[in-house]
Amino acid sequence: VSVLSGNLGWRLEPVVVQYRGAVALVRRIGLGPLLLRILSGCGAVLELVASAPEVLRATGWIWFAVIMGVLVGLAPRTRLVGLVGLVALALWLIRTAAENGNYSILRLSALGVALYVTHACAALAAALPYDATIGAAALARRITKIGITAAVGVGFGVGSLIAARVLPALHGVAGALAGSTAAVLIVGLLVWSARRSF
Amino acid sequence: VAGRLAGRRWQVETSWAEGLFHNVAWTPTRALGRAVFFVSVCLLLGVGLGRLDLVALAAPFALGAGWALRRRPSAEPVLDLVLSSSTVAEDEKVTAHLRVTNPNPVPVDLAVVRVAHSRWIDLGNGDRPYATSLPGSGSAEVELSGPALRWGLRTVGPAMAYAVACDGMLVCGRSIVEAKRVTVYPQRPQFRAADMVTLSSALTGGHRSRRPGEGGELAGVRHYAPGDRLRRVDWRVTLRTRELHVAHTLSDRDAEVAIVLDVSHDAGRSGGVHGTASVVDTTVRAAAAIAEYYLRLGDRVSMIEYSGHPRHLRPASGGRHLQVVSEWLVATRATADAGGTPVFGFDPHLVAHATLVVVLSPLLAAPSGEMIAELARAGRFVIVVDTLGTAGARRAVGGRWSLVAHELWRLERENLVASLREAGVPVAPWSGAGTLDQMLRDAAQMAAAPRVGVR
Repeated sequence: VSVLSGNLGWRLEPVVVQYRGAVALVRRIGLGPLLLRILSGCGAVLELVASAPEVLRATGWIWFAVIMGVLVGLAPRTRLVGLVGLVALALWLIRTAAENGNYSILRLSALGVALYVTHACAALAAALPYDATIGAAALARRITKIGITAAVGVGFGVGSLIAARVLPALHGVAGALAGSTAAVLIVGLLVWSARRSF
Repeated sequence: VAGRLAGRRWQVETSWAEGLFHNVAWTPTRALGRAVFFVSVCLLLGVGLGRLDLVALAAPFALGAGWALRRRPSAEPVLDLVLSSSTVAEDEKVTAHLRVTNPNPVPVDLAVVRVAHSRWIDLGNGDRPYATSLPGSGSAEVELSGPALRWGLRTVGPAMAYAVACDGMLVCGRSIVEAKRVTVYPQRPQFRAADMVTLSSALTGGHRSRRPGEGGELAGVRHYAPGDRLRRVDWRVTLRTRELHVAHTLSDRDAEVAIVLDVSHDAGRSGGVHGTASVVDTTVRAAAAIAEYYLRLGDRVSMIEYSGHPRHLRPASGGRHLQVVSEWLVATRATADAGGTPVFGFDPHLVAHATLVVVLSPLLAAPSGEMIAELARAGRFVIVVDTLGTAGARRAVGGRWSLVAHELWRLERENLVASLREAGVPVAPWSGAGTLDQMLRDAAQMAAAPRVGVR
């Protein structure tokens, strides 16, 4: 019996080593990076759900949003984060187009917050190794800043939207020109800012 | 612009995949490209389609990126690694201070610091990266400390740091600090031996020799003989017996002890100072204990490493030599060092004639037995301390033939030990204090016994 058990232990040793390696890997996960990845994953699910809940419910593709969220949480350094954002944007456009451009401000705000939170949390999670130890104060500061930026940005955007609805519309070429100029200026400013010292 | 940004991103992302990235200045990450791209798409679509909701969606990205990028760092953070001490004993604490300094007036979101270190220095979670926020023109320090688990030349480092700024949209190249060396001296277990060294040489030292002479150790009282000094007369005995008696003393002598470390083979798994000991661990710690004991008695101790690349430490005495011995022991290796052809040979004349030779050997191979026999044949008094310990009693794991092979090996080893004993070389397992007592007593009796001489 002892020979048999010895043989069995000898043959099972690689499996035990693999298992212990996997357990050690999981136990190394840092709480800070885990929280950031969970936030980015939840943000990705929320942005897909907020963009077209009816479409997802009707097609039964709600699991697609969950899978995308998990993937974003697992791979915040990849292009998947931007891709999921674009998918959410496309779903939003399709759904609002189907409803003749009608949407609720609340849903738009939720989508805006979800898009930014996913982007910002993924940006920080990408910069941190998965097993990093981060101080609670530093992490709280980063998350608070993300929350404030999202709230202020969405508030500004939605506020501008409401203001634009209230203000008399600029009909004809003038409106298109004003909007295009503003868009080009903003994009140009961002690109200039990004390239300033590179 | 997108192409150039993508190129820079690729440089960073590739290096992420490798674990670390090369020394580059502050570089945009994929997050910056994503923000710019998303704002561009939303604004252009919004203007093109006349959809103000898309502009509202782009607002947090535009505001966040614009606000974060308004002040950017230009210089990389500077990392410094300082150790509390470069020499410690086993189980003593080593503290590593990792100080990362931000030379920019702009605060940095996160500075990630990581240090590699020998697995025999337990710095707690020292193998993890540490992330901390870094104020403008300020510094942050990460302190890692833990015990040194095993003797030897250990390293802490290299250490690496990089920083992330502007909400994770800029990342800087790594700053690297070279590794620092920590010398960990072996722990010296409590050791005592019978205060009788069979052979002694010079006329100084703390040992009571077997030879009568001028000394402080009373051996008895005997009749006066011509040549005895008057101050040696024992007046009380003389008055009682009415015959002149003198106090008979033993001379104080020092001895030379040669400790041979047989590290041609290692066995067992080292678990550090609180875990299991490998053969080399036992050998080195036992050698340190024996050397310390005899050096404190005032004896001269020499060390010899029996391995593929033998080393020899000349005999000397005193506290300074104890330090030299500790440093010599730290460089002990089980296997031959890289380079050069291993030389397994041992000249018995390396050891002076009147020397007690303590061989610390696991007796794992025939050449070890031959080396010991050669020393004994050359007239040196040799005692062998078996350093294999519990590793020899461990059950073999494997197939049927492994068990047979293990049993054969065990019998061969028992045969070797028996052969050495038959040849007059005492062998005893290392058991800390008192290991050498019985062997030294036997040796003293053998040395006092009459010898057969041929004229």
